[in-house]
Amino acid sequence: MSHLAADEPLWLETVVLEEFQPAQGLAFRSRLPSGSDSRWSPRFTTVFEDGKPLERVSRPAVQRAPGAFAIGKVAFLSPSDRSDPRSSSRVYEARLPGRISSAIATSLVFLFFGLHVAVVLLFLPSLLRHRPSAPALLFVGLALAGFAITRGVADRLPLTAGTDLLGERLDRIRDDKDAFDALFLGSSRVYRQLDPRVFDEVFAERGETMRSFNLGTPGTRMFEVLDTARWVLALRPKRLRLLVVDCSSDPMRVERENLQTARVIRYHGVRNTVIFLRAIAASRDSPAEKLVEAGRHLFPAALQIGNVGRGLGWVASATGERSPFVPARNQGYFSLDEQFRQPDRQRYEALELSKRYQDLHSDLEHYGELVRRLPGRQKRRPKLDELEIALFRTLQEEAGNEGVRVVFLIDPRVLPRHDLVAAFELGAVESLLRFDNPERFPALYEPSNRFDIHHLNERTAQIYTRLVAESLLELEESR
Amino acid sequence: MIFTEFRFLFFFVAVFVVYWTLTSLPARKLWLLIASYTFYGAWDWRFLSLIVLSTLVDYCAGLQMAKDRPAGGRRFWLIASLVTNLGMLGFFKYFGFFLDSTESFLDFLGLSLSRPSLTVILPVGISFFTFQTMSYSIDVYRRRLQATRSLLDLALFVAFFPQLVAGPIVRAAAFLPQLRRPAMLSRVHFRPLLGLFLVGFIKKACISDNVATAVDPYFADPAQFTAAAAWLAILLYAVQIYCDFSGYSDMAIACAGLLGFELGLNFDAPYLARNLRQFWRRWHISLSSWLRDYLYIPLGGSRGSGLFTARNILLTMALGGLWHGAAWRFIVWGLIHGGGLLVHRQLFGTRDGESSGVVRWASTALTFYWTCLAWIFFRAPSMSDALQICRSYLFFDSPGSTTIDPAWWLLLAALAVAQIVARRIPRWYATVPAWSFSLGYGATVATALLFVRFEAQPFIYFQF
Repeated sequence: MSHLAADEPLWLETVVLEEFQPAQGLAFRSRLPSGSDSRWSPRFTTVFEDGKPLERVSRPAVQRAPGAFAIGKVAFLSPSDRSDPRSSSRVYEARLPGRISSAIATSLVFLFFGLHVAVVLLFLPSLLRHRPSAPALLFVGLALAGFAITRGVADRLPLTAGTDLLGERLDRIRDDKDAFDALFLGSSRVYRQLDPRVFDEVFAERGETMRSFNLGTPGTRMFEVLDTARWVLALRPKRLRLLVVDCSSDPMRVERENLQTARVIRYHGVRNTVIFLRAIAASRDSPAEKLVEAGRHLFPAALQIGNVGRGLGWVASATGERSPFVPARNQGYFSLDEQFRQPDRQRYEALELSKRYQDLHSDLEHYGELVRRLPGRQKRRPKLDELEIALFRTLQEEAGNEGVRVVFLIDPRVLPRHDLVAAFELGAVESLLRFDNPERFPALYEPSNRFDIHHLNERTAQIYTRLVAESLLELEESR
Repeated sequence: MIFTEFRFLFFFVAVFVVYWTLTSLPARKLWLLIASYTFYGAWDWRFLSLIVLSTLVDYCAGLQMAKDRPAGGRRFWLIASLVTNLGMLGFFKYFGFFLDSTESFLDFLGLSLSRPSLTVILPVGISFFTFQTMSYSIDVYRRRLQATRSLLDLALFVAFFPQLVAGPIVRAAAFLPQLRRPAMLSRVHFRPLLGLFLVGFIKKACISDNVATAVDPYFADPAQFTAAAAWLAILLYAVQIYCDFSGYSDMAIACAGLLGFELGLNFDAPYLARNLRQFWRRWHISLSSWLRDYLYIPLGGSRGSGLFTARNILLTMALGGLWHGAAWRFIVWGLIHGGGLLVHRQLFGTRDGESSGVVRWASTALTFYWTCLAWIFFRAPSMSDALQICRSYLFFDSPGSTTIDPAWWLLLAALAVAQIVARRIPRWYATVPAWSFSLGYGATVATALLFVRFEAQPFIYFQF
């Protein structure tokens, strides 16, 4: 008798997991075979190691302890003995809900909503008979007015945004809005690789005054960049003249685990949400996928309309709640090496960073292959993303109206950035500085100069920052 | 699905609108039953089978007991009902506990146990609905309640969603008659009920969840903290559990009220109680009265010697502790309360005593102190941690050096004042002009949402 009450759906299939790739922390990932998908009920997907189930854990947990986690078409696992599934002889299988064709899934979704519509229609005549009285409507209106007035007042109070990594640094900008000439916006490629102190130093060597600040945040995409830029520009900073941007592609994507984070809620205002919904409606996804995707944006939007959690910064500052994030020191920059050195960082973070470091240095052949293949992959026909192009244009236009120039970067990466290159060639991006050329910048691709496959180490980040600053100065001079 | 989630709002609005537009009583009851099963199924639809099984067994047992049978026959059906309900509760809630305890005991004797590999998931709210159904069978057996012939009524009594997963524990005698007469929308007191829901929401989402940020780190590693931090964390936990559980009860009572049902009061400012006897008449009233009527009094209550009464009190409180959780810590929690009740009984008998001024406040403070001592065992992750925390609490002695921000003391004081003021809120709802209530309600919702944590925390009592 075992697992009497194990979670099991009505029907299951078992697939063998192969071709593992290192993921963050202790985790490895493997794509589920074509047609298999854990999306409909990820909590029912179980990964077996030599026939024994691995504990089903959260995504962060699988990075630091044995267990498994499945999302969409990818299974993440951390072996029980912390071995490498690529070299160990262990067999890994996933048991997951049986395949559901998109036709059936779509029918189910329509049936579900159809039932709701049927219920409403069924009771509509009765509802109309119970028409609410005028005073009742007036009181509802008054309650909404009370809500709106209070929300409006709260918006004008100095609510701190400091409950997340980006918010803490936005507080810093708001408190000293006229102190900065340049801001760095984007993903971890900005946060981990552009040191404002070095940047300012290069400008000072040329006799130019420069004070920059890093607002990069891991996983940032173009929508978030635009929203952050708008937030900053709305402050009317007197000295700001430059925005340096390097963000991830796929501008609308929101990871499931980030749905309720302050940073995602922050850019899900009504205006942006309408854009998301229109883009989803125009996409080629199935109706069921569109509904799921729309829900993914409507949820943070609802949290923003309700102002949910915006006062938590008060509680945090009043009670000295220790933020899990690094304070806005070093002008917002935080290298991976520095984080790795932190004595008070949580153990799993250190493990994760250690693993990322080892992933690169224990398999240099894989890294070398990626670098060798890069020029060839860059030559492929670029993919155009109309929404992203519109976002590039909007950012440049709105910043330009305030006298701020936007310069996009492509860092020394090993995967091509087709969308940005295509936008530049199309003229949608005015200024693009590229460092993704191993022949031109061999030092930046030298394995010993990198922290992991995707990021430079602290020392090389300073060299890279210097190169960026010099390129910007050249760009300025050429104008 | 929990009351503080968005999806509950949509769910409840749909249930409310359809319920009040239906005019037939059976249709309304059927609709509520469907809604209740959907609500429970949102956690795990498979455990609906337990609710259905419990309902069917009690329905049959009730009808059989209602027939003029000899006492032995009626007793058989009562036992069948109790075995089913207690069997489910025992298996799903206490299997692991008894297995662990047996293993430890055999280990102590130098024997080893071949432990079966069995993972049992605790169905949400099983302690609540099994106690409800048992009260029905026992009341029918005692002929204090007429067995219902309507399976629909009984099913709805067992599964009624506002109180299904965390109480209040409703008695059949109080609930079934409400199902026999059609509720009228015009008799629903919207203002007090909406106000009560909002108060419950604020208690849970704004106070309990935020206080947890100070409490959880302490209980995760109590040895790291100073004795002052221990005191603060324990007092804050008292606030957290009160706001969490009474907040749920408030919302449950309000939801039921908006559907035309009256559930009894479950909390009545318990921390203002002047002794433990009073505390248990104000804290989780539906459970304490259940334990009194179905356990303490059948055991003999106080109808015997002092020693006999003491045994009954301690047994009732220990089992009350075990009801909360399958661990020795909960039994100790119950015994601390039982011990306190015995001491009070020895000193003051069954009188509450009329006092005023300093004596009154001192007795309230002493009762709160004793309650907090018991909470240590309720919250600590293990017995050894609980003893370590007790050392800090009782002797102000701790090896740790980590502190909790003193600003929490101010918040604690503010919450204490709020507790006193909050008692006046229901009266305020009923008396203020409708326009100011509406305006104030919207403003309070907007303010409350500012302090809601993004990650909704499950209610503490869901695990019981």
